[in-house]
Amino acid sequence: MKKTDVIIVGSGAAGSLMAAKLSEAGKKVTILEAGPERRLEDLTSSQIHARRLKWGGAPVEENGRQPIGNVFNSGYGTGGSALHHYAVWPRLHVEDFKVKSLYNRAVDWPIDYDDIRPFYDKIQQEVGISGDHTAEIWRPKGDPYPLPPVPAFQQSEVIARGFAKLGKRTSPLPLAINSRDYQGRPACLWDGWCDAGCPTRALASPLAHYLPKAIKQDVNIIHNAAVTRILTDKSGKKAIGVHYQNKDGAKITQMADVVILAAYAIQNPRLLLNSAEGGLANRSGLVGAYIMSHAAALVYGLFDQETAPYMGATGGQMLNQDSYDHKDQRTKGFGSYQWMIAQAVKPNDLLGYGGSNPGLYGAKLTEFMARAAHHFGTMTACVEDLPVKENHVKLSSDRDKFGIPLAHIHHTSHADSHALWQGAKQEGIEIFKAAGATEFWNGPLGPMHIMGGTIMGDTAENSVTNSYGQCHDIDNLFIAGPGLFPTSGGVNPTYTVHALTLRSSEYILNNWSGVIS
Amino acid sequence: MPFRSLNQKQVSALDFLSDAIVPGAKSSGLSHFIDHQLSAPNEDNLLILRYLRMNPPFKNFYTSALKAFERSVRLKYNKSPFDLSEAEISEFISIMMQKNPAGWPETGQVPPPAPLFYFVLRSDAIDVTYGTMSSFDSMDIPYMAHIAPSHPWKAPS
Ligand SMILES: Cc1cc2nc3c(=O)[nH]c(=O)nc-3n(C[C@H](O)[C@H](O)[C@H](O)COP(=O)(O)OP(=O)(O)OC[C@H]3O[C@@H](n4cnc5c(N)ncnc54)[C@H](O)[C@@H]3O)c2cc1C
Ligand code: SF4
Repeated sequence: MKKTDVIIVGSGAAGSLMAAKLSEAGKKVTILEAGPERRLEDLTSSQIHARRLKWGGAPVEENGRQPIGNVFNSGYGTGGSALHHYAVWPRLHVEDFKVKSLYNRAVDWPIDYDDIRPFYDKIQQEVGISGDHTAEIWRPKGDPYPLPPVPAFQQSEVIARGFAKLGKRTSPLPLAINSRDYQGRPACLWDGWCDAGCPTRALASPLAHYLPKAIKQDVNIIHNAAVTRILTDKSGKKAIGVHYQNKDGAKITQMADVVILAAYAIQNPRLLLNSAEGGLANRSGLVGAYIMSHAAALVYGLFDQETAPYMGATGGQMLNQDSYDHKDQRTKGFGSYQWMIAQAVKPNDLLGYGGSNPGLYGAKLTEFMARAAHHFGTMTACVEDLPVKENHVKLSSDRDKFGIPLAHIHHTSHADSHALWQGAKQEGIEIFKAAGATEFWNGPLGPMHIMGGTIMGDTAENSVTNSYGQCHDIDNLFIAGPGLFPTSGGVNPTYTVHALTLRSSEYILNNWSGVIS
Repeated sequence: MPFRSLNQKQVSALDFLSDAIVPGAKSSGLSHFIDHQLSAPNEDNLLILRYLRMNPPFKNFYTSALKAFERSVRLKYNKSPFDLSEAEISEFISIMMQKNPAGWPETGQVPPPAPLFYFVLRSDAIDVTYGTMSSFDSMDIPYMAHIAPSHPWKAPS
């Protein structure tokens, strides 16, 4: 087996960006991806077929009062979860990085907003984000969006009236979806098939943007290659490669100078814990700790007006962040949340209007479906999940088909996060009433996004990596992805994943000889 | 189309119950959909059950619940499910969505809780009744496919 410069485990949001940047700088990169190969032409527009894209690797055990919903919230195969993510890309706010210093709660990030801001700006220019920086009054400082905002269809116009009546503000939702042709990718058609994966490349999934760049540099992607162990030298202080198993179960060794784990927030700690007694890079004992998941506060309603709920992007059309800054000033609980308003909705699947009101059956359901097809409205609050050390990934006593212990996750929301979610739900109902909904109701708590588990920090005592994702204990072992987040904020994580990964890639390239020595 | 995982009795019970929950499910091919998914490789399984922290194979989920359904109906109404009036099956559904009806086994070989089975079957039935190109057409909403499915729920081979 030939040695390569860099092995990246996982071909999702973080892995594909990292591969593109390192290979463009001349490094030889191999991506090992546990799932199958997926191509744009496989992305069938159907909520039933869309389920193929979900996590299909080793089963994950879950317990706790608010399980994180691993299968719904993770992808598998080329592009990972990000292949069918909805591309809602807001920035974290200044406060999010300093929750401990400001409020004596949770933990601080080892960086400030100003450290990451230039990377947000670079990424939005490279990838393209549609938005309106002046209307988005809550947005921390940053360059204007490179693309005009997404259009507002009937659903968002109807709901926005409710916000306005209550003195609350709305802006276009920032989306990594092209509102016009950009970077050789076409404009969106606003047909709401994003959850099935966007085959046109209007949405900046890994298959649309960074993977083609990596492949152009001859990055080798090996599919059906589940990494099972990170290998180190005798000292245990240097990574030398990995073991992976192919579809037939053959164990293969791949050596490299640098190993980067980009297998998302559950599988990264699972791999570390399986790679050494007590876990690799685990001097802090924190590998697997502080798993977080935003709580989705779901609001549904029916309106007399036509809402055309089939139009737009799956992520939504408008944004409200009135309940974001000043985390201690919420009516209930503690933290930040944002409203994503007017998601494009299909009739079926977990997020479809058919599933929104599970008590309806028979003739009443038939009547509801006919009305909802043209008069349904919805919005979702993305609610901060405070980090709790006991919310963790551990190894199970059960094993996968390769004999590797399964991941076992415990997640019970912090009482203040749960209260925040309840407050958001109530606010949502008030807004729908003000918007003139004739019927309105909430959905159950839905977990969305997975973060934490390998948090970054200043020291090996309080964290697994430094701010570049470099493991404190092993200089040439890096982690990329939302697993690095010490706190979750109340915004979707993937824009921040991109900004952090870009920052790490520059660090690796600028410090190459030190990293591998 | 022959069934591969379910027997005729199971198919009839599935059709009957799902059609009472989601009118139109039977003619939309609900039992073929479930039968096909139960015989597909785990990785390609398209059933909503995947989302609910359950791992394939899923056959026992459906067959054990169908058995429990028949048993509970017989206990309550002293007749076969197929002989229930519209009002009776509706009453039974309103119970099963909230709790296990009397006779639903809770010890030994336990089927899924009745409310979970109701939720899953309802979602499956909505998938085939409302989630296909032809159903969009009949609801007068545009499908706007980027890539149209070659079959409503069979993965291309
Ligand atoms: C339905 C959905 C909607 C979402 N919408 C949004 C949104 O609107 N905005 C937003 O910001 N975020 C959204 N997200 C979250 C977003 O997808 C993730 O934050 C992001 O993809 C994380 O990037 P990642 O590279 O860490 O992981 P992923 O993109 O999941 O990539 C990880 C890859 O690693 C592979 N892998 C795992 N284990 C191994 C192993 N042992 N060996 C080899 N490979 C392995 C996986 O198969 C996967 O391909 C959404 C997610 C989902 C599922
Ligand atoms: S709505 Fe836009 S981003 Fe979503 S799948 Fe269609 S073209 Fe792609």
